[in-house]
This record gives sequence, structure tokens and C-alpha cells, in this order.
Amino acid sequence: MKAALFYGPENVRVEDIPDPVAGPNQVKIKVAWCGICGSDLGIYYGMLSDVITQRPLPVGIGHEFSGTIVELGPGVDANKLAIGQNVAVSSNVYSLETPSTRMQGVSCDGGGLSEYVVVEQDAVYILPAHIPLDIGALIEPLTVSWHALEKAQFKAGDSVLVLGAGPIGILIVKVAKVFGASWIGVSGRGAKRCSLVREHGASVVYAVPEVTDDEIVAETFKATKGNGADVVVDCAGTQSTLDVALKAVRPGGTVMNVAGWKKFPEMNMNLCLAKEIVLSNSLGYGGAHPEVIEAVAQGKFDKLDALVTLRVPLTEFVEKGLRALTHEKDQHVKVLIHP
Amino acid sequence: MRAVRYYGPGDVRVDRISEPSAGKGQIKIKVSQCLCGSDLHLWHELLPICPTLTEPHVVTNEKLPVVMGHEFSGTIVDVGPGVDTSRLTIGSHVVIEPLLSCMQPTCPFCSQGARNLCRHATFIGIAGCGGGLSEYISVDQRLVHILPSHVPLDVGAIMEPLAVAWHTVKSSKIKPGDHALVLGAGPIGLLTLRVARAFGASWIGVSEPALKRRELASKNGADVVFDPTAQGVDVVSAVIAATGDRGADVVFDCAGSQKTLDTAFLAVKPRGHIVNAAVWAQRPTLDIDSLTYKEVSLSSILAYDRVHPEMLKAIANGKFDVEGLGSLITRRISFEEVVDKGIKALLYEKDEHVKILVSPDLEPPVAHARL
Repeated sequence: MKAALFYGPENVRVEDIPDPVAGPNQVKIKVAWCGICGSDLGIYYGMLSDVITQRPLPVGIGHEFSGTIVELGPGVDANKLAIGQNVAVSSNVYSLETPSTRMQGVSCDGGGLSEYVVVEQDAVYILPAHIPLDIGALIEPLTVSWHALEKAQFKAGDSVLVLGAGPIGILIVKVAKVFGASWIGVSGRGAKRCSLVREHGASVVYAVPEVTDDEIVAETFKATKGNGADVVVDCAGTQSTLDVALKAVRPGGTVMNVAGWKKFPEMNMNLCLAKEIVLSNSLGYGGAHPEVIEAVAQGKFDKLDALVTLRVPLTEFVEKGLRALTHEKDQHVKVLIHP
Repeated sequence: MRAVRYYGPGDVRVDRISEPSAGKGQIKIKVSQCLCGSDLHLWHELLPICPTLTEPHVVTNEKLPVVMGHEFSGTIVDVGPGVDTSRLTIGSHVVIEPLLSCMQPTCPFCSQGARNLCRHATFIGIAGCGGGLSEYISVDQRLVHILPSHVPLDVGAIMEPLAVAWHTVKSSKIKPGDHALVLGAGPIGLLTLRVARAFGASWIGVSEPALKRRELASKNGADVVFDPTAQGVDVVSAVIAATGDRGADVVFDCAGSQKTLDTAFLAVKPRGHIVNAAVWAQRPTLDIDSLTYKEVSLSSILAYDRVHPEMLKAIANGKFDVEGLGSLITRRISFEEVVDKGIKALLYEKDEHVKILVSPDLEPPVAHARL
């Protein structure tokens, strides 16, 4: 089968390798669609080498995927899973017993950027029949965003300031809307991103750098009766966004970090103290897949298909897929690859 | 009456001022003892929670000078009109919750009871409304709590920092059986150690560079005490080993330095909690990657939020043992010695002292005539 293999920084090749075989408690999936994540870009450019080198190279990559079950390994619960079912996959095999994280398409055998992949049966979630498979590939990033807001204890009626209007920011906005946010402020860079995030549910968009950091803070206070936002989500990960977050969040509120960071920031701890700010971090799913799939199935999310801005065959993953996200970043939300 | 008053950075004086009377809803208290010192930062600089010589504080409406002292106990000597005398009677031993806030109906924090988050929150003994470094003080009855009968008055003065430690431990959401690491064994660290045990921590490690403070940590119940400056001591590895390779469920940073924060990030377990109770001299650099990959939450606390009643109840019914808390008092002084033997001792002989107790009744040392 064809699979995208990571050999090293800027060295990903789509090659023919043997099909994987479903072992005990595993299922084999024919991949339908696999999305590209910002962390895949990070892997490609060699910025996440510590996580990758838990396995000998080359490794399969891709962790946001959907597909159809084609084989059940020994011991798989045939009451729950059957050949022919469409599924979304939870890529995070997270063990609380050991601090390390094993993640499909990052540090496990095989990734979603291939024709077939084998996963643990516990990592598989059935997609209701009316959810198309391309939307199925969005379940993973939607779940990351869902869990982040849950972890921030976001409640209906809360206000949220989202820093960054890239793919993560847009998904956070969509999830915040489903959670019943009373106000969603978003800061973003670039006309296309600002208009996209407005389409997907932002109450107000602050275009940086024309709107200054101080203005974002002041406007957030105005919009929240002078108290500050209940939650601030940092999807951008810079000193400037962290400073804005700490100033704009209300006393006792949560700053939720979902960003990848290029540089360690300085932290105004005394401001955190004076306002009892909680700085929380979310990477995983928190078991939210079933809830998210249910919400999608019930039509709670609108315009999910509008999030897919490019579809590329697996053979052109590097030339068209990664390139688009590197050089035309502002034009895209989700790029989906089909094997 | 005599009172120690703060005029500004470096300017603290013992003055004679008029004795307060118990106004509507107020209790007049004869102060027994007051702790010196969490207001140490004020010796160096004014803080936003203070008024200035010209600008009154919005909650107290007072300008400098203000009477100092917010950690104290005393005896009720008078009750004003409208006081609930079924709860508060003349002769009762009491402690004060010195947290002041705006109490406006438009303030969501005061309205919900989380007064420490009020944007104008401040303290008795820092922004006005009297202070514990005086002979008498009148306080709103809502801020007055009965000291459990078996607790001596000098230990009663420790109830305020104990409430800070209580709030710190509560907000960490520590569960019985948890493993905790306390960084820093100053007053707050030592009290946090005690409270964490009362909340059911099964293992508590304490890291502290000063010998005397390490000894106090052992005396106050630490399972293991680390000297992070000693050769060959690796606090992080030791914590990982002591916690079945997982890391501490909760880490309390009661020291507030780059080193302690870094240690906290590495020693906490994935999805664990770090609670910051310290005031910081500088902004640390955040190892955001460790935080992110381990999905750690980092929270901070300010003072207390509705902690006094449950804390004092736990003390009254023996669930929290105050035995030995008096060992945190390392010196007893008079008003006149507050600067030289109090504030300066805490600033410059930090490793020798934990809490210094000031008594209005203590006479200043008599100067011997030179012959």
C-alpha cells in the first residue's frame, strides 16, 4: 500500500510498503480522509523531533483520519465493531501510568496518511451513517477543541476571547458557539482569516496588528461589563498573546493554551496571583469523541464542510498539501488528504 | 492608645492615636498579639492595594498613614448596635478575616462571595480600617470569627496565614491519598504542609534551602525534606521515584522563583496541578512545552475565599491539629521593636525566622544607662 513516511526533517516520502495486519484487539481501517494538523507541519520541519524519535524512523504520520473497517483482529468485540462500518479514530493512546504519550501518526506504528492503518479497538468510534467520511476526518480536531473548552470549564453563557484565527481558532469558535457562548471575541491576522472566523461564529474580530494588544484588552472589558472574559484561548502561542490573555481574562478565569510555542514566554506571575488566574493546557481528547460525534450527528455544528479548503491525493501530500499550508497559510483551514 | 503606623516605604512609626469605638455592626477588640510581616513588600514600595499620602483607598476611604498588622487575635471588649450577640459576646477570643472589598451590588465577585477577586480588594492593616499592631481595633462583625477554645491567643494570630494555606490547598483540589510537593518552607509553605496532610495527602515532600526551615518542615510532618542546593540532590528524580514513576499529584510553589517553577513543571504528574502561592520578585520564563505535553494546570491564589468558618470548625473538632503551630513563632517583640527586630529581621535574617509575634503589652527593652 502507499503511505507517507517521515524519514527526517523535510524528508517525507510516499512509498509502497506492506499492508499492516490487525493483531489482537486491533482493527484494520481503509483510510478515507486524513487531515493535516499544525503539528504535522511541525514534524515535517523537524520541530517535534523528541516526540517522533520514540520509534525508529521512518514512521507513518497523520492522526486526523476517518475510514472504513476492513478487518477485525482476534479478540475484537464483534458486537461493537463490524467490517464495513465507517469510523473516526482517537489517535491518542494515553497512559496515565507512564508520563509518555503514544500517539497514532506521531509515535505509534502507522499513521493516517496511508491506504490502510491498524488501530486499537478502543480507539475506534462508529460514525453514524449520515455523517460523510470527509466530515469524519474533522472529528479529531473538533474533539481537541471540545475537550479544551470543557477543561476550561466553559459554560453556556460564558464569554470567550480566542487569540488566533487559524484552523484551531476557528474550531474553538465553532465549539464555543455550540457550547452556548454569550460572546466570542477573536483576534486574527489577515483579511481572509478574519472574514472566515466571522463566518464561523465570532461576535467580533480584532484584526492584528491594526488593532493593538491594549485595544483588544480594553474591548474585551467593554464587552464583558468590565470584568474580563471568562475564558481566553491562546491558539497563537506568543509572548504578546499570553500577555493579552492574562490581562483580558476575568479574575478567577481560565487561560487555556492550545498553541504550539516557538519560544518560552515570560509569565507575569503576580498578575496571575492578583486575579487567581488558572493557566490550563489541553492536548488530548478527554474521552469526548462520543459527545462530539453526537453533536455533529444532531446537526449542532453548521458549515463543517466549509472548513475543508483543499483536497489532495496522498501522492501529492508534500507538493500540494504541506506546501499549501506553508506558503498559502492564510487561505486555508483544513486540507484533507485522500489515499 | 499606641499603634504602629505605615507612612510609606521605609517609614514606620509608633504613634499615639485615639482608641476606636464599636460602631454599628462592629466589634471592639483588645488585640492580644499580631504577627509581623507579610507586609514586608511595603517596606520597599507602595503596592496598588495601599492608599497613598494623598489618594485614599476606594474601599476604606483612608489615606496614609495607616495602622499596620493584618494577622492578629484578641478579646472582644465591646459590641456595637446591631451585633449578633448570640455569636459574639464580650470576653470571647476571636480572630479576624482582614479581607476588605467593595461590596457593591454591581460587583459580580462581592455579590457571589468571592471577595478576594474584587478589583478593589485590600486588607485591614494595609489600606486602613485599623490594624492589628495597635491596642484596640473595631471590626465589622462579618469579619470576626470565634477562636476555638483550646487554641491559645498567640496561635490565634497564625489563623490568617493558615487561612491562606487552607485556600491554597483547597484550590489544588487535592484528594486523600495524593502525593504532594511543597516548594519553600517559609510560613506559607509550612502551613501548606500541615493543611495538605489534613486534607489527606499520603506523601508530602518539602524542598527548602535553609536548614532551620527544613528542620521545621520535618517537625511539621514532611515525609521527606530536600535541600535543593546540596550536592547530588535531584528533587525531581526523587519525587518521580517516590510517586511510583508518575510525579506529584499536586505541587505547591510557596517560594516563587525560576528554579522552583521549573522544578514544579518537571515534578508534577501529567494532568497534575501546580498552585502558586508566592509573590514573585521577577517574571519567570515558562517551560510551556512541559506544561503542554503534560496537560498541567497552573493556578494562583490570593488570600482566601470563605475559608475561615470551615477551617475554624476543623480546628474546633480536632480534624486539624494546631499542636506545635506555636513553633512557627521564632521571636516575640514589642511595638517599638517592629522595625529593627521585626521587619528587618524578616528581611535580612530570613533563614532564622518564620513568624515574629508582636504584643501590645510587651514593654520595649529598657536602655541601660551608661556609666
